[in-house]
Amino acid sequence: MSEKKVTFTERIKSQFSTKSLVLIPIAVGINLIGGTLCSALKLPLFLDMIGTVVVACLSGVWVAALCGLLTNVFLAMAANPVYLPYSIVSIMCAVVTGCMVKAGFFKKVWGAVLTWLACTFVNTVSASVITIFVYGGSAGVTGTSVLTATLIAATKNIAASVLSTSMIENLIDKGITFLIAFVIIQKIPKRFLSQYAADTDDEEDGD
Amino acid sequence: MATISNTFIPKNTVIERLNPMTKIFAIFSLGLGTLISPGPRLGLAVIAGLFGAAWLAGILKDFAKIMFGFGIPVTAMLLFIQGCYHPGNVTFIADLGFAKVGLEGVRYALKIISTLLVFLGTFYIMNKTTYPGKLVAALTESGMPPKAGYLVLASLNVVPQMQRRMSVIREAQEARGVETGGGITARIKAYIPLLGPVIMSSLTDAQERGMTLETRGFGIAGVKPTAYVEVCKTRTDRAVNIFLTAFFIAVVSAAVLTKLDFI
Repeated sequence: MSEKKVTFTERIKSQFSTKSLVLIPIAVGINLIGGTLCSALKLPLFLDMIGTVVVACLSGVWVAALCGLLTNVFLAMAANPVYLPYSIVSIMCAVVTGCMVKAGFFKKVWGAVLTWLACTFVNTVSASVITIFVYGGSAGVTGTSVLTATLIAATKNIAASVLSTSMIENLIDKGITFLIAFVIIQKIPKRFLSQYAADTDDEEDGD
Repeated sequence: MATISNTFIPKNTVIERLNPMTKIFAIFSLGLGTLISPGPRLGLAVIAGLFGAAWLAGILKDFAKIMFGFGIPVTAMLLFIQGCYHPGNVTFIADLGFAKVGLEGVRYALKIISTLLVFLGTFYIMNKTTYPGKLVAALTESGMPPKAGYLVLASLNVVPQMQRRMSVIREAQEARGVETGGGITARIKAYIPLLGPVIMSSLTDAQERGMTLETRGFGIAGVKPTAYVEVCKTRTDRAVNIFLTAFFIAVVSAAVLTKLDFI
């Protein structure tokens, strides 16, 4: 993992300024606040991508990816090491979201919906792969593993059950995440957006 | 996860004085060793050893709490999933009525659980006994760019700060008359006027932080940064490293030998 980190940071070093770098800890904080919000409301969700999506809109793909990685590293250090393998999921989701944003999808509602679906798909597949191969079917992190167990008992197929539970969970989870992130992006003052728009290579300022 | 804060408490134990890199090496050596070894027995032995290490580090109570708190539900879940529905099940050891428990699945589940617990336990001990600054200093010394080190440390600092800000904003909103208690819809509604200000003020904070760092020469290239926190390798470190390497080599050769016997 440290090797990956070096290439990421090297890329960021060449591409991004201090302005973008200081945004990352803040985004990680926002991600974790989403998580605390969930545990406060006792929802079986994560909501740990709000900050990543905001950063993807502000600074770009690789900053968002690093932000996803750090969120999981931090979760592993502060809450539960179980979250560490899922950092790959966070990175992949961040990259997908970042690319969609860069292609201009996040300016309209239908584009945000498309981003939501794409991100859900990527998250479902990658998270399921990790749950099956690293944890053998259940990481025991949320109440959804009970649903997984029920489905396995009904369908006798581990992969399909994990996949479908993960999809239901992620559709709701990412839906709320993108809704919040979309509202936030609309509310960020233009003065603030423009300073980051100068950093991203070819994107024009806001809309 | 409600209270995320810096979890390190200095206790000045043997484990704490080890070089952070040694502890990271221990995670990989012990974890991968357990992963490679064919049965769950080695994993159980390593877990027993980890309890000893936790006792040495003076965190036995917390360690036991997280190991059992994670271990028992996962064990139950995996034994059920893999024991009853593992695709490779041939020999059945019990009949639950709706499903049969297979020996292969149970073995597979135990293997996964032992590997997981070894990784979890070593990571937990490393994390609990290492001052984050020292960890980052050690990582930077072994080649990680200092900017990445800054990111890790800054994230660790920013989060408690943001939680404080969130409680301040919640109090402010309560003073305005926003209801923060009640049923689930009321609570969700209460969080919307909370989240907006927290995120906006944090973003402004990031902007200021960036300017502050720039004026202190954070972005200057081509200078050799010095570290405030120094880490050194002691004789204990060397001994532990040799032990870990030997352990790993022994496990790998044992695994290879058993594989060859099968063929």
